[in-house]
Amino acid sequence: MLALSEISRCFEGEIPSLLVTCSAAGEPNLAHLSRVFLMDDGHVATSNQFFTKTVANLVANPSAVLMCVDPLTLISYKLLLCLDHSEDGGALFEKVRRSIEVIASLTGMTNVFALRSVDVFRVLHVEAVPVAEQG
Amino acid sequence: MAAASPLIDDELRRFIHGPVSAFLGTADSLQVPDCTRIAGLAAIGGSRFRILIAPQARTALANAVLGARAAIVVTDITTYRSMQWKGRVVAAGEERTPGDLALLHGHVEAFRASSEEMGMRPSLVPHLFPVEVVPLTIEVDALYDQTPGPGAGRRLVAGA
Repeated sequence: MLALSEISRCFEGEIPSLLVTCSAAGEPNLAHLSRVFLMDDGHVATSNQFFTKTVANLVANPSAVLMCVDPLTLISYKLLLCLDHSEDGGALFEKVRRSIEVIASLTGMTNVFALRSVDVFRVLHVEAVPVAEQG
Repeated sequence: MAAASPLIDDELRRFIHGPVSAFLGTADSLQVPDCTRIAGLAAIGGSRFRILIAPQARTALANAVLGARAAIVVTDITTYRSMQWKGRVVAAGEERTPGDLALLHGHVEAFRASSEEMGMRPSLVPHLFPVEVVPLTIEVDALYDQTPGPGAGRRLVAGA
């Protein structure tokens, strides 16, 4: 399995990532993430801004898959995740909130990106999308 | 009585052929989700999509059995406008056609044409897409606005 530190460029917020979750009834849902935060060798965090369906799915089913792209190479990576916990205050929350504000100002979406909570996931597996799949 | 709005109208047909990034979401029998990049898509009537994914997308292909639930999200890379359709797989395992290759080419070129504006090197854009594809057909029954903002996730059209 790839180490998260090997794909750290994916977490710089240059290219939005995609989070897919699944309801208890088996219906998948896709949501774009303006940025994913690398926490340590085994965890990433996502900003929950307006993901009502994602939140509902994660309450029922903590499994998720994150698709992210290295902005330098455009190689895609797929991370299998399990929700660990959510935070709606504290140092991590404030760090993420500040970062979201910067992205919002750069993309002309100030006052659109309101942070509700930070979701921390355990990373169960990391793989590069096969080269042949990428052309 | 007013006719129900189509899930894929003429404006959305034009939207999906623009500079878009598209993904397919599926899940296995244990409700573990998966996503894979869509390398081309075309509307069939008002409620079906023919979508193209890489043959190496084994998890997605294994999940995409007939009747399986699926989600398709399409995002204009220049405006972030995003639409998400939910539906189910109605055809899988078909051979790709020459038309599918033309669809793949059109999808990649539309993406590449706007990639530089978005800070991506156009020469690297082919790294995002396969050179070979397999088709799936998805019958959709709901449409959601997925554009970033307070309205994200708002249901726009529900099928019959």
